[in-house]
Amino acid sequence: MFFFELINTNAVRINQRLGKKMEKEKDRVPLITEIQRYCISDGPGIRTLIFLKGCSLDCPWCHNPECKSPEIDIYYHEDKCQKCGKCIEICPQRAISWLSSKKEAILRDREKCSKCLKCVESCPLKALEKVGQALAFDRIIDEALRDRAFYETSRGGITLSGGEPLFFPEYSLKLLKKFKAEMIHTAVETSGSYKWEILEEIAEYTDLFLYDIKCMDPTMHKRFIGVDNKLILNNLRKLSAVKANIRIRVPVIPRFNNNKENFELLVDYLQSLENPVLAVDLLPFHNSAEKKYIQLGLNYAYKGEPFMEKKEVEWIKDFLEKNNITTTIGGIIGPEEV
Amino acid sequence: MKDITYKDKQDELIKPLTERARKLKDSLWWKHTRGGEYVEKGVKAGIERSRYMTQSFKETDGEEWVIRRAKALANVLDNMTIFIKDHELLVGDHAEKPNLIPIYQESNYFLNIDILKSPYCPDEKEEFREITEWWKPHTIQTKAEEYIDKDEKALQNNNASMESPGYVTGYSSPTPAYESVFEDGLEGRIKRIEGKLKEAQDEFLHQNPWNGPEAMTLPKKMDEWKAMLIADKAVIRWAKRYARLARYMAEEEKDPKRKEELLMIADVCNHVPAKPCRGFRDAVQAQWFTYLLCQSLERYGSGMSCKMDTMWWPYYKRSVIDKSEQPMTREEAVELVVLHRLKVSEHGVVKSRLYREIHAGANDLFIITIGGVNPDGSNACTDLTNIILEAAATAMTTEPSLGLRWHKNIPELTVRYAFECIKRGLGFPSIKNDDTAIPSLVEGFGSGKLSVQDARRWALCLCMSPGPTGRHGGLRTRWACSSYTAKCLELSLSDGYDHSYTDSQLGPHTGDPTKFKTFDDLLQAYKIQYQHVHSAITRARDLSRYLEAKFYQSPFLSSLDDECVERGLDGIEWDEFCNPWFNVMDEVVVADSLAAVKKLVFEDKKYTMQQLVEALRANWDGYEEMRLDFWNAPKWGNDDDYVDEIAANLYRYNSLELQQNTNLFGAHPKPLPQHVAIYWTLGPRIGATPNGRRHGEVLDDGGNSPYIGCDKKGPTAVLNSCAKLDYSLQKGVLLNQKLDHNVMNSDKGFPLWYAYMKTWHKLGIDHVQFNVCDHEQLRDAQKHPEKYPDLIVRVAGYSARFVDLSVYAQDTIIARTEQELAG
Ligand code: SF4
Ligand code: SF4
Repeated sequence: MFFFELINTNAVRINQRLGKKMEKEKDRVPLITEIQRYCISDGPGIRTLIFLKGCSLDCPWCHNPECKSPEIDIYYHEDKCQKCGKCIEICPQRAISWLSSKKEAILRDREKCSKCLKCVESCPLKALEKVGQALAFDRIIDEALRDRAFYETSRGGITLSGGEPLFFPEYSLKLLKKFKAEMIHTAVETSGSYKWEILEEIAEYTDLFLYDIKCMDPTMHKRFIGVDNKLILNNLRKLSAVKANIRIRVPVIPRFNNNKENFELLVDYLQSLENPVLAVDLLPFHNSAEKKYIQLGLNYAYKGEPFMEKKEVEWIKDFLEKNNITTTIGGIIGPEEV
Repeated sequence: MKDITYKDKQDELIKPLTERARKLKDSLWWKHTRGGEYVEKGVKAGIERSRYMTQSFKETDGEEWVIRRAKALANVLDNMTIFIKDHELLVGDHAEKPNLIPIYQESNYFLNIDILKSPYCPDEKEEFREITEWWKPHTIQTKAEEYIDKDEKALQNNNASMESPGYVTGYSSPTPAYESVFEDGLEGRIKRIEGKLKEAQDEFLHQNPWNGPEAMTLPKKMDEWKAMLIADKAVIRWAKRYARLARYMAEEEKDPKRKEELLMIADVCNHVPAKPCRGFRDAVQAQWFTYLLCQSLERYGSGMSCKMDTMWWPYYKRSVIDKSEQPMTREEAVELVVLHRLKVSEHGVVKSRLYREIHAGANDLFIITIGGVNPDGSNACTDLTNIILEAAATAMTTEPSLGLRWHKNIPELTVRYAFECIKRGLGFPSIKNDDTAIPSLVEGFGSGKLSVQDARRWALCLCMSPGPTGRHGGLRTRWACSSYTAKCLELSLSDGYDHSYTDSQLGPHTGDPTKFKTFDDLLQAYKIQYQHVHSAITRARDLSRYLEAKFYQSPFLSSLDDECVERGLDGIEWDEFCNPWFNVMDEVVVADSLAAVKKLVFEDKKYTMQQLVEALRANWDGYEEMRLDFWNAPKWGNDDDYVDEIAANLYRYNSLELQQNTNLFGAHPKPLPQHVAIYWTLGPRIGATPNGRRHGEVLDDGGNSPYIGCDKKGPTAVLNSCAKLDYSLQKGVLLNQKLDHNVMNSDKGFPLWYAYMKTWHKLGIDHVQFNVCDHEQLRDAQKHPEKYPDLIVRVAGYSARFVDLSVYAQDTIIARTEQELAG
C-alpha cells in the first residue's frame, strides 16, 4: 500500500537468511508491512502503528498473518487477476501453476518459491503484491513523525506492532530511543515471550506495554501456540516490578480461553503483581483476517467460525471489573494520560 | 474507577421529537430529487405565482420595470391562496398547496419549456403554455442572448467546461437584512423610505440652480423607492391575511388548546413583519416570512444565508431567559426551531433537470450559519447555538444544513452538540475555520473596505462562501458559478478539441500535445485553456448581473438594506462589498493527473506523450497496465510531498489567474473549490484523465478531498496534505472526510474526534465535513470495492480495510451497523 522504494535488495536477502536462523540474532533488521496512521485502538489517542514483519509464536487466530514470517510474502488478489498466465511462464522455480484445469485462479507453492519477485513485476494487473518492505530507518521515522500534531492534541503517539517487536530487539530499541528523543509517546505490543534482558532494556524507552496474555493454562497455551506461558508470565511479573505501564490484551478465542476458570486465574495472577496493570483490553474473536490468509496461500484454522458478538464477552468485562480491574472491549481508550 | 463518559450523557442532550413535530414531520411533502426526478409522487409546480405575476405585468405595460416588478409581487401576495396546516405554529408557504412549488417564469425560457414538457407541469397546462409564450421575449435569458454569438452561446451553455450562466439558471444567493425587519419592522422601513422619497422629490423640484448630472440621478432612485414602498406594504397585507385566516380558524376550532394556538398565530402575524419583534415567536415567524419573500416569492434565491444564532439571540433571551416577552421554556424553543426545520424541509424550487440532478437528494441548498466570534472577538456561541444543533439532531432532516464557525475558544458543549449531529450521520454541521475565514474576508475585499469587526459577523452565502451580514455592509445578492478544470486539462491534451463530449473545438489551439517536450509545455497549454474558460464565465456573470439590474429587480429585498434605501439602489446593483467567487472544480483530478504525467512521462520516461494521448483517446481501452501505472502514481491526500507540491502550485496558480479577471464592480473573483453533486453528473462530460480515471467516472467529490479510493493513509494524512494549501488565496475549500460509525458511536468517539478537530483547527485548514459511514455506503463498498480502498472499519479491537474482508465478514459488519442505527 506504500510507495516506498526498496533500499537494498541485498539487505532483503541477507535478512531472509538471518530470519531462518533467527533465535540468536539480536540485530536483525525487520521488514515493514505497513506504517498505519490514525490508529485509535492500540494505545491512547491517535497513533501511528509500525508493523514489523516476523514473530516467533504461531497463534492460529493471528490477525496479521502477513507479519508472521520475517521474510517477504506475496499476496495474490484473485479479483484483480485476469488469468493471463504470465506469472506461470516467468517463474524460474516453476512455483506457480493453475489451480485446476479450469484456470480459474493461480496457485503459488510457498515451498518452491524463492521470493525472487519476478512474478510480481511481470503481472500486468498488479494482482500479485509484495508484502514487506526494507525501509530505511529515517523513512520510518519520517513517516511516523508526520502526525505529530495529532499526537499532541490526542495524547497519542506511536506503537510498535507486528509481528513481534521483541523479535527485533536492537532495531526496536533504536526506534524507541529515537521516538523518545523526539518526545513522542511510545507503546509496544508484545507477546512477552523473549529473554527478560531484552524486555528490560526496551522498557526503559516504552511508555506503555500492550501485553498479550492468551491463556493461563500452560498446557492449552502450548497446545495452541507451541510454547507454554511460563516465560511470558514471569516477564510480566518483572515488568510490573519495574513499574512499567501495562495494559493486558486478551484475544478472546472460542474453545480456547473464554471460560470462567481462565479469567479467575488471570485475576489471581494480576492481583499478585507488585504493581497493578492499567487495564485489560478484551479483543473478541473476529474472522476479519480470513481473506489475508487466502491471499497468502495459508491455511486458516478458523474458517467459517462466526465472529464473537460484543455481548458474548460482556460477562468477562463484568467479572474483571467486579475485581477492580478496568476493562475495555475493543481497546479504544481515547486521549488519556498514561 | 469508571469515569462518566460522554455516552452516558447523550440521552440528556438530544430528546425525542415532540408529538406535534412528529405529526408534522410524518405529513411533510418532501421535495427531494433523485436521478433528476422528484421522489415524492404529487410534487409539482403551482400556477399561482406565475398567474398573478403575469396578470399584473400585462396591466402595467409601459411603466418602469422596477415598478412593474413590485406591482406584480403585490398582486401575487394579495391573491395567492394561503393555508395553515394542522398542528402548525409557524406559518407561511411559497405556493398555494403544500405539495406545490412556484415557478420563476421571468428568469429563463429553457426552464419554462422544461416544466411544460415535464410531469411537474401545473395542472393548468394551457394557462402555463400561454404564460410561457408571453414571457419568451422578456426573460433574462432572451435578453442576454442578444449580446452573444453562436459559439459563445455553445461555450456557456453546453456544460462541458462551465456551469450554465446566471441568465439561464436564475441562480442567486442573497443575505437578506433580517435584522432590519426584526428591529424596525416594515412600518419602520416604510417610514424611512417615504422620508427618502420625499427628500428626493423636494430636491428634484426645488433645486436652484439646477445641477443636471446630480439631479438626474434622482428619477431612477425615486422609482426604486416607490417600488420598495409598494412591495413592503403588500408584504404587511399578506402577513395580515395569515392573521385573519388564523383568527377565522380559531372561531371554528373546537379544541380549546388548538384554538389558543391559532389565536397566538393570529397575534404574531398581525404584529410581524409590520412591527419590531417582541420575543422569540415573533423573530422566528418574521425570519420565515422574510425568507419566503426574498428567496422565493419575489425571486428565486438559493441558500439561507444568515447568522442565525446571533440574529435571534436578543429575542430568545427575552422569551426564554428573561421571560419578559412571549415567555417560553427551553424545550418550547427547541420545538419551534424544529418546526422551522420542517418548514424548510417542505420548501422547494422548480428546477431544470440539470439542477435536479446536481442537487440530488435535496430540494435545494439551505445553509444556516452559527457559532464563531462576536464583532469584538469574544465567543459568540450561546445556548441558542446549541439549540439549533440540538433541533437538527432531534428532527433528523437533511435540510436546512448548518455551517458551524469553529474558533479557537469554541465552547466544548457546543462542540458536543455538533458531534451529536455528525455521529448520527447527518453530514452537518459542516465546519469552517473562523480564524482563517476572517482575515481572508478582510483581505479579500481589498484595502480597508471591510473592517475586522464587520468581517466577524460573517455567514455562509451558500454552502461554503463567507460574506458579511447585517443591516448594511452585506451585498444583497451574491452568486457563484462553476468551472470544470478537468476539462481544461483535457483540452490542453488535445489542442483544444473536445473529443469526449461536445465533439467541437471548445478551447483555443494550444499545440499538439505529442510534441510537448517538458512538463512546463503541458502547464502552459493548461493555463491558456483555463483562462479561456474563466474569462467566459466572468463575462457570462457580468452580463447576467447587468440585465438583472434592469429586468429582475428585488425591491422588497432591497428595502431591507440600509445602504440600498439610503442610495435608492436595487440590491443587484449594490457594488460596495462585491463578493464574487467561482466554484473551481476538479482541481484534485488535475493535480493527480499532472503529478502522474510529470513522474511517468517527463521524469521516469516510462511512457511518451504520444502513448499517453493515444491511451486517453482510447479511454484507456487496451492500456490497462499503463492505466494502473498512472492510477498508482503519487496521489493527493497521502501527505506525499511530491504530488502535494504540484497541487499547492495548481491551487495558487488557478487563484491568481482567476483574479486576473475584473467584474463589473471592479472586484476580482476568487476560487471556491467545491462540488455539490456535480462531481458525478460531470463524469460523462469529462473524458479519460491521466490520474487513471476513465471517461464517465466521477470527479473528485470536494474541493480538496482526495480522489475516491486514493486516500490510502487515513484522515490524518489527508489533513496534513490539506494543510499545504494557501487558503488566503481561496474563498473556501471543501473537504469531505469519512469516519467510522462504530468509533463515532463508541465511548471514546467524542474525545477522539475533538482531538482530531483541534488539530484540524491548528493546521489552519479552511473547512471540513463528515460522512459517518452508514450501512448503505458499506453495501455500496461491497459492490464497488475499487471506490473504497480507504474505508476502514473497526471491529471490536481490530481495524480492517472493509474491502479486505471476506463477504461473510462484511455482511456481519453491515448487519451490526444497521442494528446500531436502528437501536
Ligand atoms: S517470487 Fe519468484 S519464485 Fe516465487 S513465485 Fe514469484 S517468480 Fe516464482
Ligand atoms: S500474471 Fe497476474 S493477472 Fe496474469 S495470471 Fe498471474 S496473477 Fe493473474
